[in-house]
Amino acid sequence: MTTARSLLLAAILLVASWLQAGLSARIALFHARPDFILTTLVCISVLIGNLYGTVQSLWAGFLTAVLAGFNYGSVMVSRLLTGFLCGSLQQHIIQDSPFIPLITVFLATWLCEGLYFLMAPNLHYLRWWTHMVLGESIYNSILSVPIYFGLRALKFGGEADDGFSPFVETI
Amino acid sequence: MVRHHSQARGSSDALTNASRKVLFSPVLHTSHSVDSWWQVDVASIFEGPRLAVENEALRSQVANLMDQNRTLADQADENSRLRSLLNFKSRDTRQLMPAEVLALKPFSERDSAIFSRGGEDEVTLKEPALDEYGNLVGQVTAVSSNTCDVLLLTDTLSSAGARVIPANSGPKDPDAASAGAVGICVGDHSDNLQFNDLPPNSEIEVGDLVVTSGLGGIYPKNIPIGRVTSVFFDQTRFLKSATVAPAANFDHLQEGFLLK
Repeated sequence: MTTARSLLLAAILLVASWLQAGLSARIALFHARPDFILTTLVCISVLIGNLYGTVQSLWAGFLTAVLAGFNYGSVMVSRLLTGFLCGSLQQHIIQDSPFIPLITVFLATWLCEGLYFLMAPNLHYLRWWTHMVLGESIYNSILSVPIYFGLRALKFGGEADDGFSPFVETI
Repeated sequence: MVRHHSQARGSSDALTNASRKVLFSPVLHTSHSVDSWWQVDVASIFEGPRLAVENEALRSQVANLMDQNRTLADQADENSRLRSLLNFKSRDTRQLMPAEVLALKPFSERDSAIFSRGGEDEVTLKEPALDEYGNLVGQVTAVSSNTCDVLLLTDTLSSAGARVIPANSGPKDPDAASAGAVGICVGDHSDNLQFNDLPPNSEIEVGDLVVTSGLGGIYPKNIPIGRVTSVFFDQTRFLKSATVAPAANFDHLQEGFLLK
């Protein structure tokens, strides 16, 4: 992947963070709020693999943490691991299936929020947390389809990104 | 526990400061301006007849309020003269600082908002935040150079000393604000607030107004919080509790005020 395309993905995540700040709460349905940054991150990671996905995860985690304003470490590590694990799926999925973004984003939302929960538990509000994550994961899944195929339209996940790793060449 | 110096002061670290200033504030401020322009200058074109009716109603309301205002100003003068005669301590007159809501609940785990005022505007920690109608929204929990984080009342970490004003007592009842039961309003991530720790014999009914009590030192007295929607008796603690529908709409905050 070229530097320009990496920067393009970083810019897409930045736009997602603007939407997260300005739009997410206003389009809440039944208390469910989408997480634009996480949804975009998962779509990106699945398409570009775990190496570059991890780099983008770091950026996504940083943007989320800046907006959250607290628990920087937990926020960033949960996004980092989610991006890495979703990126590991790259070689095992049919990229043009419409079910891929739906399923991966749904599960990745539970994974990410679960990791965050482990690092910053909120046991008194477990029931609220379950409802919140369920709503968020459904909302994220629906949003993931246009985001995922938008990225595919920009040729992400093509041959240029398939399994390429600079480490493989240098080792 | 090791804490960063900036955390101890409640101010954001340099990286967060710079990121918010460069990456978020300009774009979110511009989108807020565009949204306001759209609603005021464009969308309002299609609401002409409704606005004319509303304008007429507001004109008569303004006339009534001006009349009430004159009466209240006279009473305030009289009150201040009497207080000075009795050597009472003068009440604080705090200023309202308008602010845009740049980000609303940006992180799912916490109900918070980012306001467009920060250290450069002399915003300090624990300043109360109000919505555009003067209803309590929360308090400042972190300050960066040009933004501040407001923890909303609906968050589980929020609480406010509150007092009941019976629904049948009008604004002309001078004792109403000090007669109601006192408790604590806490958030639970839902649309409603829990009004806890009310004395078992307190008189509280559905529809009663809940305002800040002024106890606790963070929120001044008599800022509206919401209205009681249900009352129940906590058998285990032998205390009354109530559910309060907040007056502020926490999902559609666009502008607000910080109480200096």
